[in-house]
Amino acid sequence: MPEKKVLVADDDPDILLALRIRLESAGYQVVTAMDGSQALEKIRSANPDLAILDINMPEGNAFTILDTLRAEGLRALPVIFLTADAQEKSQVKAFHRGIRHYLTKPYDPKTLLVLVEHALNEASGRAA
Amino acid sequence: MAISVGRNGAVAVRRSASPEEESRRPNGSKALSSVRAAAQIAADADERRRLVETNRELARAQRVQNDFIASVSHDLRSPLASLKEFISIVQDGLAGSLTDLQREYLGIAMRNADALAEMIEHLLVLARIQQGSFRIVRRCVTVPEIVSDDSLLKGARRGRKSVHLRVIVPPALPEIFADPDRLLEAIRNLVDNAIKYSGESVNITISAAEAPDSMVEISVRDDGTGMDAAAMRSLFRRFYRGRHAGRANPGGLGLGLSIVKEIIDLHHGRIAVQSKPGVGSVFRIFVPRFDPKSILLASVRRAWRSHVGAGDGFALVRIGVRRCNGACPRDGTEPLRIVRESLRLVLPPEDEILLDWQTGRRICFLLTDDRDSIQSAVRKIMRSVAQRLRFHSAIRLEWEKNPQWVHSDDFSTPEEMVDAIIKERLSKGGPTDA
Repeated sequence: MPEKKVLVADDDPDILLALRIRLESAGYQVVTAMDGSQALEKIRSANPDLAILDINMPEGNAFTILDTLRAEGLRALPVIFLTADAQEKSQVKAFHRGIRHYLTKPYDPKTLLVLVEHALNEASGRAA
Repeated sequence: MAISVGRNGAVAVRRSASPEEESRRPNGSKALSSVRAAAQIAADADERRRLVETNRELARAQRVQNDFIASVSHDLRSPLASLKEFISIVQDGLAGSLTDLQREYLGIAMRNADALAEMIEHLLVLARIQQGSFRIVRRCVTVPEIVSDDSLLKGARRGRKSVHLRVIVPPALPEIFADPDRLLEAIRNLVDNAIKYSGESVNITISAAEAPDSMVEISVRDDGTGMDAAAMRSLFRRFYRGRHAGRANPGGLGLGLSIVKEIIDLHHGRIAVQSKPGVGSVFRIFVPRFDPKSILLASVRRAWRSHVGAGDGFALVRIGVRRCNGACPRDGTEPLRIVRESLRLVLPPEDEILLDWQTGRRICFLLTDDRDSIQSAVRKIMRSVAQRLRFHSAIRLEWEKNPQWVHSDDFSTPEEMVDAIIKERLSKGGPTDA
């Protein structure tokens, strides 16, 4: 089975590196983006199986990315929000956009890996 | 009028003698009194303006302080995430193998990063409490669902201490009406507190039992250092830190117990403490049982006091869910979560919501104080839930056709009001699963 591809978008290069190490060691192929427009571009070109998005990034936040993807018909891409924003209103807003996986920083790496696996299984279940 | 500002920023106002009082004085002539009265009125107006301005300044300063705490705590989260993740990556051997000594030192680093994370979390909660945005969402839940060895020890700050934790929960304990995440946070804070105020080793027992007044008691007992009467009086004060035998600083910001109290207050529960220096402490928290009628009655009584007591009225609305199709996600709680999140988004926080769901009747009650907007509030709720459900094509939710409501103007007691709406529901029978 080919390895799954995960796009990680965060404007903090340290977090990007940490996530790359963590996800690659778990057997995933990782594509990274440092802002919203790069994330959109890489989602279109690299066709990832899952996206992990920080909410607040330059050149388009995670909500703008979601809206653009939906407008382009890419509704099926599973998305995990990984953010320092722990405000209830942001969580409710995400929930209302269909985001069920909302993880706040500092995150537990084991929880993140379980969520990634769960979201990917769910998506492949839907596709089957 | 005289204004004085105390050390804590509290403003005190002392009233001067009124013109009438002045004129009644034996030696004061009427003309002089009139002049004095006019001068006094002008001075009072000036002072009132100054008072209003001072209060505005204080409120602004408080807002700035809250925003500052919230934004600083938020900004600290990202670097902390990197710090913890890189320690964890090295600990997990993803950067090469480790010696025992390196492993030990990394453990110390991680323990301190965790302590920092806890302090930041407490500051964020404090900011939310002060902004009035710290809320709970209660549901029907069992104590074992919330309290388990794993849930409590995960994240508990053990440090180098040896912690023996026992959880004793009788299987037949009634369900409670609580926010499971917040209640776990409260119990965890009590466990952390027990660990903090103990020697090298501590025994902690968590137990639960039925209590009078439709409550369930959850207690956290430890054999730590215990407290004297003076410490117990200040216990729930923000930033209070008790003395710890042999240590100048027990660690933490002194916010944990004030957060526990805030959480229990939001549950309309209570907390009691017993302690003896050198013997240990027991914290007892009492939260309401899940009894839809009594919970509804308690909400209606509170609304009655605040609305009817102030010469106003309010409505109690019942929205029923007729069908919920069988293709709901695995645990079956997902539709409920969707309804609850949607309600939370469309309703003002002061409205009371009760979802009587797990007992199979699928009824949502809400209180609203505006008689004219009941129908539009109900439509707004249904619309919001429908929008939300668009993202979950597997779930089908169907509301009962006509929401029922009663208004406080038509009843003389809260009990009558609740009886009326419950009878209405029972006479129609409950909805069924598709």
